[in-house]
Amino acid sequence: MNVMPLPTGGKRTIYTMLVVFSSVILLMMIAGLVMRLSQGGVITLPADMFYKLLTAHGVGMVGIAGLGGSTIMWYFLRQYVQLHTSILITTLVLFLIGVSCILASIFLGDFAGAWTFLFPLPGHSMGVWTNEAAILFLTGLLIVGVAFVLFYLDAGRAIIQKYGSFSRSLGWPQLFSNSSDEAPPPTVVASTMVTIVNSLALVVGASILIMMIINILNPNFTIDPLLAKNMIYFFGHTFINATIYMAIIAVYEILPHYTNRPWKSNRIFLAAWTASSIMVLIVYPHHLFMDFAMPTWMLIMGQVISYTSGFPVLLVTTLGTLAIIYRSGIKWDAASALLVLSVFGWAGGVIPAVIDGTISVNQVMHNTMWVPGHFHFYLIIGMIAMVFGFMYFLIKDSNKGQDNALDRVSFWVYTLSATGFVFMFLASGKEGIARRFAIHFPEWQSYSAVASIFALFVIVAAAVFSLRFIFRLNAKKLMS
Amino acid sequence: MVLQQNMLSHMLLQIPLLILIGIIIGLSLNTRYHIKVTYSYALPGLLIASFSLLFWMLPRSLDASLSYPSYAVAKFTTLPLLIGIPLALCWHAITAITKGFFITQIISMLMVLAWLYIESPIRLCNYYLINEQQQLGYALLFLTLFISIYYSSKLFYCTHPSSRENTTDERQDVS
Ligand code: HEM
Ligand SMILES: [Cu+2]
Repeated sequence: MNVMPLPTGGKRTIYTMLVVFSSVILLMMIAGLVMRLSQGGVITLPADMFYKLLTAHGVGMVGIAGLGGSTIMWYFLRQYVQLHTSILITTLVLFLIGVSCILASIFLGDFAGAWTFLFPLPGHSMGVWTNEAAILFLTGLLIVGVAFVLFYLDAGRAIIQKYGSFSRSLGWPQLFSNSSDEAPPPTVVASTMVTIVNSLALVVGASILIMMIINILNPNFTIDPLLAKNMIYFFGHTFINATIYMAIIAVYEILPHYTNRPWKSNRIFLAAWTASSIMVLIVYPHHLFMDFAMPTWMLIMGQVISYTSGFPVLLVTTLGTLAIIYRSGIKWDAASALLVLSVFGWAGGVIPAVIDGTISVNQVMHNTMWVPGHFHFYLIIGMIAMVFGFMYFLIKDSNKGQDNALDRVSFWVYTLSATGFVFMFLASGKEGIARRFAIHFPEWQSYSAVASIFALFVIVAAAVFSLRFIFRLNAKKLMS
Repeated sequence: MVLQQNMLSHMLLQIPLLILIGIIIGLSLNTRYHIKVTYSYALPGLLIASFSLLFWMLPRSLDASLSYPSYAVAKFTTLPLLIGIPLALCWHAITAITKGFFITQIISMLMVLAWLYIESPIRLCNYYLINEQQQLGYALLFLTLFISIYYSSKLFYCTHPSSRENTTDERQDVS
């Protein structure tokens, strides 16, 4: 498979996206720290401010994880298929416009209805925010959605242009009919899966956003709240999951550089990705276990598929990672260490997720801190670590082996403090502490206070990663 | 007109058929005179089609086409001329991304329209009953489902890499 070089414009856009990524991540982490400090009683935050921060943190992190994942996907997919730089730039610009609307709705319009914008909350603020603010927020999300739709349309077009169809780029001929042609590379398989599931998710997400905007303008057009919740979680679950499925491409592409062993798509790999493409779409009912009006079969499906949804890809990736590094004489530096960490962070985070995906457990754990516990686990130690690893890889490209003690120390600080931070969430959940509470009982506060210390170290390490990247991106590199 | 007696057949049979007539005219114009629409003309053409469609999707315009002969004439002429013909002539000239954008846009808008017709608290047309409106809503829902499944499965089964190679696609690459 010959690899196409990246056009300069594309490279510059990728760097810009990563600078945006690091800045937003740092700001949102600080917002998270402020929330945790306030829950710990260390500082006092007015409740409305807490919910504004919660909304900004949730939507900001989910959006920027999407952007970070897309950056990785584009960078590597561009080596195999003809993607348009102009579309990537349009995506970034639309994304930033949408984010500005969202920020304005929160910090100027006082919107605080959480990133899940569950119906009917945005239109029923009891006077905390105006309907205009809610509409601005929903419109901002819609614009961000359009940005991603464009991104995936271009990816889908380019993949089909080269491979003929999605069944080929998923490797179905190799999987089902023993075709002896070379299977598509892992990057193409993963990108196809994400393109399919996210296009569906975004179309449904756009529909519910428009419906809610109409409903706010004219409440006579009622929405069935359960339908709304189904549509929102179909969109939300798929979108945030897909961020990992995009970012994992960095592991497939970068680790082989370190071990000199290629990461090939074998049949098990192809089967795993095809299986996960279907399952990621039907697992979302695990967000609706508390909704007794849901059809029972959907809830059972939610539980069963929760056990199996991420599993195939996770398994082939974890085993693949072990196989590729075992006795390979891998050179450890910040990039390779972060990427290997990320695979295990992802795998580790899935364990508490699966536990909570069990109906009988969920009846107790629903809406406790266990939930932020599991998703911060695979987002901070998995997803975000993948992007930081990718950033180290990019700046390493020309400056060989410039890792120094600071990078190594930061890696360990990040690993240990992030682990500590998520375990404080999980421990809080185990104690039954509710999530999304602005003010905690005194008995709960010590958990948040300890977690805040860990969070501070996570932020310091993330700041080192980001600044390292920004300072090494000198003008010369941008031009080359 | 039999087709106009029921809201469902008016919206989902008569209007599409009128557009189809335009498409057939457009296609035959294309084969007879080899009209080659370039990318820069295709987009305005499709915009004309979109806005005309938008106009005829308003319940008010449909109502008017039943009450006033002038509106009726307008409907019978603009649907083939301003929607069908531009669609036939321009659709193949736009890039795959613009096509995809139109299709995804149409799918999510149809979903919203279906909901609007089902949930509307009031009668939108003077000529049709509220239950016809709801029927139309459910029909639109099925149409959405059909279009989504159709286009998604098409992406899986067009296995001719070279035939998909569309030269207009490359034009946008700024390297
Ligand atoms: C230093 C790092 C971080 C800190 C201190 C932090 C802190 C917090 C806190 C305190 C909450 C609210 C918990 C509650 O429900 O009471 C929260 C929620 C959340 N966080 Fe983080 N977080 C961090 C990193 C991240 C990252 C990297 C992501 C995603 C990529 C993320 C995504 C979210 C999401 C989606 C929510 C849920 C918001 C909601 O309930 O509506 N966080 N975080
Ligand atoms: Cu989920």
